[in-house]
Amino acid sequence: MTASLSVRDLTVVLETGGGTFPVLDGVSFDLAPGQSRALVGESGGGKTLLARAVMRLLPPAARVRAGAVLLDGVDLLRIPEREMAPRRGGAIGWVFQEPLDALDPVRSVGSQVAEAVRRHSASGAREARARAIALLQEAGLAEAARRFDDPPHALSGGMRQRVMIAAALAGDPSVLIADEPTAALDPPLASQVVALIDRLRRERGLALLHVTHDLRRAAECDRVSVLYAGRIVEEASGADFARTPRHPYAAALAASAAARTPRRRLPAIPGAPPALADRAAPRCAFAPRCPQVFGRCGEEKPELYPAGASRARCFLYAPEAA
Amino acid sequence: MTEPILRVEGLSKTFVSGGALRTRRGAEALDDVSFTLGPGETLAVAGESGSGKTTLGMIVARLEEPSAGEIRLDGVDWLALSGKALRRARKDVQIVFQDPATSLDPRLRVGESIAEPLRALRGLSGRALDARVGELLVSVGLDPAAAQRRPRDFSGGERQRIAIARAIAPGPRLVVCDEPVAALDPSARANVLNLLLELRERTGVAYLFISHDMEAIRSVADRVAVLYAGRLVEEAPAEEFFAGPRHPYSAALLAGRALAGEPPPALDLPSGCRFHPRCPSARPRCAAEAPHLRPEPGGRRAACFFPAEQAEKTKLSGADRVIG
Repeated sequence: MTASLSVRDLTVVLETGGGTFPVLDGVSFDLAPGQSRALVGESGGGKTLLARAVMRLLPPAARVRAGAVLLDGVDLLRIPEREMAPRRGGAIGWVFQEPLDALDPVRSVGSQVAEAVRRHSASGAREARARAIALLQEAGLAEAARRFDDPPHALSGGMRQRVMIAAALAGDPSVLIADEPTAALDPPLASQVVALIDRLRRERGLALLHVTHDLRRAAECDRVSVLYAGRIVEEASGADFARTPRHPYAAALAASAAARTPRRRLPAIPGAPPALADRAAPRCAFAPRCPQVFGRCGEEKPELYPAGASRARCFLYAPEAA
Repeated sequence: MTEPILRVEGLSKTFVSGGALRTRRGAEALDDVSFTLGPGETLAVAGESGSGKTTLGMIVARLEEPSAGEIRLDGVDWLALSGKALRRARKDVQIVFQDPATSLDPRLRVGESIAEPLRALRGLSGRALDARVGELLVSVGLDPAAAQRRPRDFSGGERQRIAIARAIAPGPRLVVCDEPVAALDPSARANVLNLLLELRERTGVAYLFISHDMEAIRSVADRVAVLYAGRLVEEAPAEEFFAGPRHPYSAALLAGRALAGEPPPALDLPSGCRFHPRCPSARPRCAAEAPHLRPEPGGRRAACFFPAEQAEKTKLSGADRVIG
């Protein structure tokens, strides 16, 4: 099956006063229609940057140095902005953590969805309104027609997130990027929103890129990519990631999230991810924090090696040198 | 039993919406909430957005005034304090917010942010002040040199440590933690939870730990209270709570189960049990009559007419998985 989204050897650098540093280093993955992929890892690992690179919305100091982002076969990094712009919110829809940041507070929620509809199709005002109401209904907003004229603050957090999702569907996307869509929601609501996104993925065959801190949600995705210091360190199915995380970082992350013992210390990962300037050093970026570190880890950079059905960027899984 | 340091009795809070006097309605954020907190104890308050849990924390920290009710702090009428007496007593109750950006002034060096409560509430100055700031930074796992830097130089987890250092600076008996780990990644979250456990062990501080993260609650709480639409619906020792909540809402929270609908808006609360429109086991009585918190064996309380054993329903699947 051809991928909807294919990221190939993507390297993004950050230009600072102190030099130029890679913040994403050789990142590759494929995402097929209807497939879901979670991006997990600590803050600063590059998850959100990767999502933004796909949308070509990198912050000014960041620059793509190498690689390709293929959307339905077209390299987004090589087309002019006038061809990229309609794909943002068009073929690529996205949903953020906090809908209030993305919605205009003084305009009705319905008109904002209708505007997204008109941006991506030549439809008249009445047609756009009808389409917007249909999208709001598809996103599970109860009484969509009645709420059309409500301002965002008249809606609950869960309803606002549904409006955001309706707007993301306006351009009939093939890829949906969800960046922490439930981080601001409480558990029962978060479950509703996750179930909604999952239903849309299945019904519309959306390729879903789910950036999340929530490892349980990640484990429910088809595939999981664990990012550490700008590189993918583990690539696994959701089930394998949940059962046997292979990379020591993935295992530590899973352990820190799975607190089962009341009022005992949680297995936190000691130390902090390497500073940008230290990432280029010829060693595994996780070595200084790794409980299983050995000689080779401090001497060269590991590749992604097969580890069970997964792949892990760790010398524990390196085939014996011939 | 030791005397509680915090005793909350019949706390209610009604926000009055704007508009003409005749159409003005009260939005009930908290309704008749009562609980106690012992010295060095951690009471977790769980619930969704809009359940009233943040309002509760703000009132306990005296950053908001209740409409009714009583709070006793070490037996003293905490709500009656004002002026100088309140200022003096503020050192005993501190608060940590979800987003340290809201409590740390971005323009101030970290050392100045931590020094401020020490100066105002403890009267420290000069070298003693600098030394105490350094000690506090070390106690939250940071380098004393961090005092010279500004909040933007730190990660989210480190900024939360700084906010915690600032909160414990005046030596409080109680720290209200309002979603202290909600914005953090799993590793930073574990570090901050560990820090809270350590500080409690070292200083005997009590926490009112407000969170919607049931796993975080499991790792720090001695007791768990659940708020729904402004009312306390369950309270239990943590072990018993996690072994089998009695209220259907607690059970859904714990299982992370999707519930139909959303919590009711404070302006438009349902009759009877406020959870009944979403409750999978609601019966006619639930719509007609509001259940009271009833004491049950084992020091627990639940406000449900049919507190069925919920343990069965909350059993998590996939016991072989590292991640629940």
